Amino acid sequence: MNLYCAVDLYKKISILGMSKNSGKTVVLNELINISKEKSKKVCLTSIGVDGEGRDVVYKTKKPKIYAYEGTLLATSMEALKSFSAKYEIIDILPFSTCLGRIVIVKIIRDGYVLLAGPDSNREISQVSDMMLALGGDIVLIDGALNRKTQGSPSITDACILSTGASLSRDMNITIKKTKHTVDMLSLNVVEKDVLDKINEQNSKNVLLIGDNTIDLDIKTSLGNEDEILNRIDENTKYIYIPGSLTGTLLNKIKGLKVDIIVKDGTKIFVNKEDYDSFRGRGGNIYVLEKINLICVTQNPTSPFGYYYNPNVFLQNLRRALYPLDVYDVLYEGVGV
Amino acid sequence: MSSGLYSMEKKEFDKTFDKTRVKAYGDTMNDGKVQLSFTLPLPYSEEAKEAARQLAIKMGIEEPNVTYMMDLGVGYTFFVVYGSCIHSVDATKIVVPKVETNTMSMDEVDEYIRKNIGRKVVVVGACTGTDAHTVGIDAIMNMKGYAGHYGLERYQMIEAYNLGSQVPNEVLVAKAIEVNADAILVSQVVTQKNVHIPNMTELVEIVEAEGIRDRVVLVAGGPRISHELAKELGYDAGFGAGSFAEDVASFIVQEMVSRGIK
Repeated sequence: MNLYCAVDLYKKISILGMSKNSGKTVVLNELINISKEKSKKVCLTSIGVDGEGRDVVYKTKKPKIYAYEGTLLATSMEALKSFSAKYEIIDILPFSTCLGRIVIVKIIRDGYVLLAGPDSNREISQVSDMMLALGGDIVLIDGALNRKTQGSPSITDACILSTGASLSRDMNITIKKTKHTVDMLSLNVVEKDVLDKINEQNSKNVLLIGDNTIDLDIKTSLGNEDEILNRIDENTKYIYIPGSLTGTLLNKIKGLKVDIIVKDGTKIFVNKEDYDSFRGRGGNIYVLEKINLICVTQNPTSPFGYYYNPNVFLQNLRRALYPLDVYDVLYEGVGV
Repeated sequence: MSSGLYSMEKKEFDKTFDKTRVKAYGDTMNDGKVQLSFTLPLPYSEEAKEAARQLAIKMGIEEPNVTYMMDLGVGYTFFVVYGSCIHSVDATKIVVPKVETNTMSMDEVDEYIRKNIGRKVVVVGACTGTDAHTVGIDAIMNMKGYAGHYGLERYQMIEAYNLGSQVPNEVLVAKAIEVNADAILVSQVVTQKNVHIPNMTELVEIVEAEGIRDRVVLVAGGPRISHELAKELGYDAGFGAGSFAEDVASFIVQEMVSRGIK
């Protein structure tokens, strides 16, 4: 799906990145401009810091964010000092960050802005709803570094993944890593009757699902891998994990013909090798809610002074990620 | 002949200090004198010396002078270069976000916890990922502390767990869930090629995935951690070099109270 359709179809879009400098802010600016063209009222926020002229880690140059009149923003107090846009403060919220309290402001004259939104998913989702209630049409949530939690379906209804040369000097490694992330983000939803069984339990604990559903009374898989392993018997077909899924657990239960269910793809912290070996022994990972990954964008240049051939990178990414759409917003536009 | 040995003329040195154009200081104001040391993957030779000089010029060093070079063997050479750096910085425009809390003493922190929280505060800390350097987390947590500042283990109202070094993120979060931690401290001291960045974001993502982000205070620390970076990573605070246990403890308890964690 291209960015034009996305702006029409969705109310909350988040941008995830594979790494720093993968082009998230460029995509954000593109979405802002498309929304303006369609005269939609944009609301902006972020989970990190976005729109600063220079990177905090590498001190490399970064694109700024230009906001138009009428835009609503959720950012922190300190960030307001760097605005060249004129704004009025609509609300001061009780959420605190390193850079002061979170405020909702309305832009009254076009200019550059600095986004430094709330820290947690719950707060992000609250400020998004507040801005929509204040008359916004679409919320755009910019990511930070390689963070992906804001793509969770409980926060946004669509997300875009940005990848780029800054991930690795070797294009094949970049593509391999991107493919793995895309695979994790687009895992399938478990079949309906199992889904119903889990919803029926309404439990926050690890569940074993076979002929019966057993509540293990364990809140997290972290550190409890052996206990979970001991409780699995021949009846167990699925394990439902309420929190994060790590490679440690995956390696322990591989070969047992037991499938794993997690809440959504942002809860998985498994590298490609562990996942492949789990799959190779007949295991599957399912989710309760599917993340709506609408497209991938590429940035063939790295701020460290090297770049890929944009066309070759685009073709290879498209081949690897088919049927997902891949765009380079600077090289060839947004795919209209 | 002796007059040639000593210069008797009166010298007029530049003495103006301009805070908007601060240059490096050697022995007179604004001389821009700097010393660099680096290694080039070139064999010890006059050509390598010239390469070092040209590199220094590209860095903005005027009249670079290679004062020392040493053969490191296998085609590498080490250099020390002196010169005048042409660049200046505007010191009036520098804004560094810092953690804004009233730092209390150990006894005051204990008293604050008794009064406002009414139970022991549980803190879990570790030096995570590939980093094996415990100096940072030990300085903050160990009972004897550092430079006369007692660590969190000595605080009566703080229950501190120091997991040590090279702790995987999942183990740290598992411990935090097990002991119902109020705060997680992450230390990153020596890392290369910025591996601490993805390592630190992974911790935030696991904490978020476990659904406990709202009830723990996440604190990062280390010589390369700034408060601004902490925000970018999604932490509540970042403490750089020169922070002590009471700075961290004061921040944790005040943040807990302002968030209403009891």
